[in-house]
Amino acid sequence: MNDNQDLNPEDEQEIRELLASLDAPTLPTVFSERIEYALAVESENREHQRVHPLVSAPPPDELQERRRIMRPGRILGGIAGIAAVGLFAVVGLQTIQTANSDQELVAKSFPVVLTGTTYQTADLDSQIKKQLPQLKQLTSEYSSNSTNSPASSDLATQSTQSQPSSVQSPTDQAQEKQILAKDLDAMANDEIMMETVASNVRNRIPECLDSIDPTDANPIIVDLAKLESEDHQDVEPIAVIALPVDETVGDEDFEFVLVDINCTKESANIHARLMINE
Amino acid sequence: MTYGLDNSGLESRFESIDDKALMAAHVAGDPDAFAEIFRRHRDRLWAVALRTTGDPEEAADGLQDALISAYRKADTYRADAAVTTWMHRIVVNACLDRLRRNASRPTSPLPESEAEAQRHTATHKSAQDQLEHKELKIELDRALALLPTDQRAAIVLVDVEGYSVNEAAQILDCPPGTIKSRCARGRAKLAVRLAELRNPQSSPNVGLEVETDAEQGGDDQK
Repeated sequence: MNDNQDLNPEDEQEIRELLASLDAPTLPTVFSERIEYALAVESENREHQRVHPLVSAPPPDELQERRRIMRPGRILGGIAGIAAVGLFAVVGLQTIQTANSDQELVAKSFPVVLTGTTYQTADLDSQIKKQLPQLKQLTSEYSSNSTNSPASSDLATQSTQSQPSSVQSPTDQAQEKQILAKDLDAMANDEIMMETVASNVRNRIPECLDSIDPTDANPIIVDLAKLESEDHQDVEPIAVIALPVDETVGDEDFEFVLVDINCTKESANIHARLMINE
Repeated sequence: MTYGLDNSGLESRFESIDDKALMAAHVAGDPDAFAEIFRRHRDRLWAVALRTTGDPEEAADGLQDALISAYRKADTYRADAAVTTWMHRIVVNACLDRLRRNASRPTSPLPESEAEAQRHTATHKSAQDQLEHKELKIELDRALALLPTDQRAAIVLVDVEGYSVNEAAQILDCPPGTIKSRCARGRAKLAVRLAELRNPQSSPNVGLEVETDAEQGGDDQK
């Protein structure tokens, strides 16, 4: 029988009955727990982002790692972990809010400025153009200072508060525990939390860039900002990134891109991109 | 939030609430509503994911991707279709996306548990018929996994999961005629494969090489 030939009705009926009689598989516990855990993380993130849009989700790498290490029986531990992350994030919120009230904050290790800028979804390009002088200056300072010493942008020098006194390296688990153990009131005025946010962004940006531009760009996160919908109902955290063009570094050789902080490689959401020399 | 915990309280709390109301509650911020939707439909969604991909790991990843996507995009659900139809659509698309991305990866359609079940059953002579039936089902699963993805998805939805042609068309976002065509062609291939299993000597020239996705262009009747 040719496999392109139509079946006679009896044979077709038999095949259909056989297919209908296939056992319904049950979702294995290990997969069910893994998915429940992922949804729990998602739920936590949603709650945090509802409170404040600048708290980002865990980077994809972290989720992948969780995927690998999840085993039956660990789910309660996982939930406890989520609670710890939640506590961590709440402390972060306080810090970010402090930074917002200062309007700027520059960390030594991470060239990120939190300007408190809120972009509107409509006509993003022109809004970035308005910001260009500031973005250019910040980018220029970052790119000319490979040691990541404190930036001295107008924003930074205008600041009379929140100058970083000390900066730790990107947090790993041990450091997170150490941070959690610190006095919460002191944490609220510490820039380490700002670094954690920046670290999350930096973890994600290369993945976004893979899908934006496969060239060997060395992105600079210029700013963390917010993107607000026209009806002011949706606010999402975005990063403003400067991409070197043609691998040369100069005032006119950057392209600015606005991406979701929470975007992944597969769903990079580029809101706007603008050549600085256009 | 009750993910991963005893769901009995959740079940009773949402007992009289239908899927659409649950979805609305989730969009409104209820932290438990989506967990209940997952609890209600996980096995059926799993069945579709497993049979669409033919591989448990791929199915689990596809299902997880789909559920996260559904969680985030719940506000785009417009209630013009059943929640389960909407979620099946997301799951099938997530699985098909994974299959297309991993097109060069061979499938391993025989779940371990089926193989174990086969071994256990084989020890009982009196269960010979049952064994043969089991073997047939295993072979059917295998043949299903070797079908082109679009035909497989259509057959899984219509013949295995019992969706109507129109519902399957909605889920796969194609005309009903296309679903009918894919099902007919898929069934014909399955029949060939099973005929050879039942009587290997009878049809030596039957083309058992399974059509690849690339070959299936033009089999749709739009």
